[in-house]
Amino acid sequence: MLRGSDPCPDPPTPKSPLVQTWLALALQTRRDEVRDDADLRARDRAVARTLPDSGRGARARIEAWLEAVLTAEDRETIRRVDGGLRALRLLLSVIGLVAGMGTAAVVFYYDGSQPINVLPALAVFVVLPLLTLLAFLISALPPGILRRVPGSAGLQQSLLALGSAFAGALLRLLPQRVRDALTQAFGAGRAHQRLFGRVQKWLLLGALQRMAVAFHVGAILWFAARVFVTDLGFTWSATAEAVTPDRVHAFVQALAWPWHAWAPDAVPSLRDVAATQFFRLGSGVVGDAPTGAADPTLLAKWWKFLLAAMITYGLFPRILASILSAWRLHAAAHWTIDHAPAARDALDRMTAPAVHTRAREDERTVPEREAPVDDGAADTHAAGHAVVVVWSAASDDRARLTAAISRRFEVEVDARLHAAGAGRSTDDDRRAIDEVAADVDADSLIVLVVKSWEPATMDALDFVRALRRRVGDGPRIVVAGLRLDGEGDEDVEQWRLRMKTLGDPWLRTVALDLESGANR
Amino acid sequence: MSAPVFVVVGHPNKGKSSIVSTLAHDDTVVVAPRPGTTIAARSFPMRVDDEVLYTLVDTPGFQRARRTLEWLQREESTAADHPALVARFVHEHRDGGDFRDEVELLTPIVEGGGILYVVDGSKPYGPEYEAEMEILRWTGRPSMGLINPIGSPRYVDEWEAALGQYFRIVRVLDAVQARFDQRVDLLRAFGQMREEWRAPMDRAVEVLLRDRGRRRRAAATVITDMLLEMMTLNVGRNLTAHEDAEPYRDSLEAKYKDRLRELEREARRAVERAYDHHDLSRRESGDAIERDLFSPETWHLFGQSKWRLAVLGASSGVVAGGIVDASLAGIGFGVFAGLGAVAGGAVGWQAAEWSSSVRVFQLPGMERIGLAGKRVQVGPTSNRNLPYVALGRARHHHALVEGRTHAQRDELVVDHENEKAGVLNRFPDNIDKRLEKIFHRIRRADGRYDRAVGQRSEMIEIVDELLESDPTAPSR
Repeated sequence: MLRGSDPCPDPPTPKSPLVQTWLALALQTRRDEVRDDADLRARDRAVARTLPDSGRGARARIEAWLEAVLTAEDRETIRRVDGGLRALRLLLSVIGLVAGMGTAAVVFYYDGSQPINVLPALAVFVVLPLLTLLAFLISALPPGILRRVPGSAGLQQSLLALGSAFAGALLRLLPQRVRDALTQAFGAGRAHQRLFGRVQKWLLLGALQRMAVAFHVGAILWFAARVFVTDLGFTWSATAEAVTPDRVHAFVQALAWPWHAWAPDAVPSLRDVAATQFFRLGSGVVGDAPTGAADPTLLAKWWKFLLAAMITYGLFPRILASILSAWRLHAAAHWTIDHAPAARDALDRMTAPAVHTRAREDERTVPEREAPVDDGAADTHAAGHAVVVVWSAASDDRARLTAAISRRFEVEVDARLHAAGAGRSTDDDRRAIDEVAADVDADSLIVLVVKSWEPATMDALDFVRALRRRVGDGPRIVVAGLRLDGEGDEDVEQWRLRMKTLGDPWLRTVALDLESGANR
Repeated sequence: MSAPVFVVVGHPNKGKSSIVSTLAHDDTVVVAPRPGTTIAARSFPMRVDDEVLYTLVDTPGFQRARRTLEWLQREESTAADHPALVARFVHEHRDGGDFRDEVELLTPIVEGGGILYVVDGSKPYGPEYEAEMEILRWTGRPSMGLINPIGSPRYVDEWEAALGQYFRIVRVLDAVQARFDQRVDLLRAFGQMREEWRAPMDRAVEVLLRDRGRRRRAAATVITDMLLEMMTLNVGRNLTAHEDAEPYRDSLEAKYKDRLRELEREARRAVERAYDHHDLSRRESGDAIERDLFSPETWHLFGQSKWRLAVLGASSGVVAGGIVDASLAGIGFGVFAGLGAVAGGAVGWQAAEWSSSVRVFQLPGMERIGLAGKRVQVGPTSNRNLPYVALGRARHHHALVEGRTHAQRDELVVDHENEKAGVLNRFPDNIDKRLEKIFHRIRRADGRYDRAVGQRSEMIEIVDELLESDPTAPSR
């Protein structure tokens, strides 16, 4: 049994009534539909590790899994649904019982003035139950037969719709919170609603059969009570000439076939049938009684037959139908639990280890830097000469480099190239800065040649910062990014962004090509 | 023994995060062309249940390697002191300052991590790397050089020669294009760095291989559920006995198709999630309308051919007719089997293209209880080709997702133009026949999901096999 509103997942109990398990599965399926698979996997794997015996059957594992994952809210819903279903079944039973007694009271009404006609009683308690039993059987037909019998599917649909409408009307008698719980459990998502539909069908048919059993029990009890506490007189009568004592006897014999061998007293003979034919003319004429008044014991003879007929054709088939419904409900719930994708997926999740490779925490990143303002070619023109510093061995082709810079900036380039950065020490860098400072004046251009494909590290920024400090404001510094063959300006753009962070108004970043000296 | 930790270090913007993203199957790692995106070390523990088998650590790049090395050289006494000196450097600069990035990347190394030094094989080697490699050598930790040729392997040879001087193990892995087996090989190689790391890494690889199969099965489950939904889907409306069904036909047909498309979209998202692609943007090549589930081109590419459907239909017809013949104790002389073959073949031939399946049927007894008299309904489809088309597309999409690394950040292009008809719509023979049987049983369920779902387990097995044997997978 799935426990009630227990908020903590206790150790699983060994056995759960199937319908409760089914309800739990339906609710959990809805809850899991919106959750991430990785979360579900982690949760179910953790549940699997708490299960005492991994060799248990699939259903036992599902039940244990549900025990562990069900929320307190869903447990409460199940408790309410369970209570609601019980209340509904009780209500149907009470209605059936009252209806059975009421019907029997009407059919077997007897105040001594007129005898009871057994033919309407047979119609109500034998023929009508057989017809409703037929409706039940049609409703219970499996799809394989429905496909082969034209119209049967529609008929089944109609009958079930009628049954649902009736049950729905009764549900209105239940408290709102119970109705809400039922709606939550039964009115669910598309796929699993269709999957769980077969259980709902047998829940409905089972409840209706329970009502039918109660109806017949009520009718039989009422009838038996009347038989044992009052005197009843039974006759039969019909207007149609075709309904002769012979035919009625044959009909009675046929009906009494199931019990004729072991209860012969409950089978009226031809003589009894003929003797109890009733004509209402005047104060009434009974059969062939010479005085018009029949022997009371003869008139009472029918009760055994009627009781046997009510039990055999009313109560007994309904008990069988009720058992069949309970069996099919059990089978449907069993099948659904075994085949529900949610249950299978949960078993898979419990079996396979939960593998995680992703980071547990979010990444810390730097915000996007502001886009650079345009630093055009005009700003890099210098009246004087250019002093070149080659950063991290960006180029060792002195002639081409000098020519490219001269063309690009339209200045005279000092013959001496300074080197700094990788491959040298920071002391070497400082010396290079001193030498550059000695070579420049306010009109000079300092060209720092870098590999644009290598990112601007803090090492490079430190150098530019130190250079600016040493030469002071005034001399323009241009970071000239060499490009690899076929590369675009993206890398130079990254250098430009990085250099902008120095906030140096006399600092520019441009692309430089050794071949043509062309740049942006 | 604690699980091995592998610290991914290198020059800024050389693909460290791409390597981590690919190996950790994590698309939350920021992979940007902008250098210096990673500003703090970030751990990616590979966990099986609650057990950590190894941890990858993504780090920021070296920013002041020369100054760091100069600090170490200034303090040097003997070579044996190198690891302790590096630890002291980290300790003394822990509060930040100029060496924030170096401290961030060296901390997990001095705490016992192995080193994965990542360089970009598409750019030439330069002296700026030497200070970094020297610092790493000073740590005394097990290490590996990893060349990530971002876009082009042009300088890989040059790098192999350079890294070989500093690292005992040098590997090449294109983080963006690497196939799953290449990624797994690399992880195995991590175990070679140190003897006691071999066993946990072998185990990690084994777990990852099994997990890969589990993910493929999860994808097969998603695709199976999609097919079950598609084959049992119906969209309809109840009408009174005198109401005209005609005005509802087109809108119901459109609604039905929309729902099928939505099922496909949902399944694709679920398959992507199964492979931990949580934020994948997707683009269908060509005009989206023309390339959608119902376009003739789609059916041509992914569906079964008319002849194949006719043969499949005919074989089902032979079986049905044969049963009639058998029940007549042979006096049918095989006529019914022949008729069944012809009828089945004709139905199969027709099914090669999508056709409307709107139908109107009576609901006996419903009107009497005031509900309705008839129903106009589209689906469940009896078209034999729809499941093949949907499955073919799902398989193709799965192949693209499965072969995609988490460092790949461009759109997933489901490009049908580049695929030849005949590859996409052909499944291995043994799978083809089993599939047809399953599809036949599902069609017999007449849209009853609870009946069709009985085929789910077997179908998952078949789809799983199909995904495993996919010849269209660009990389695996």
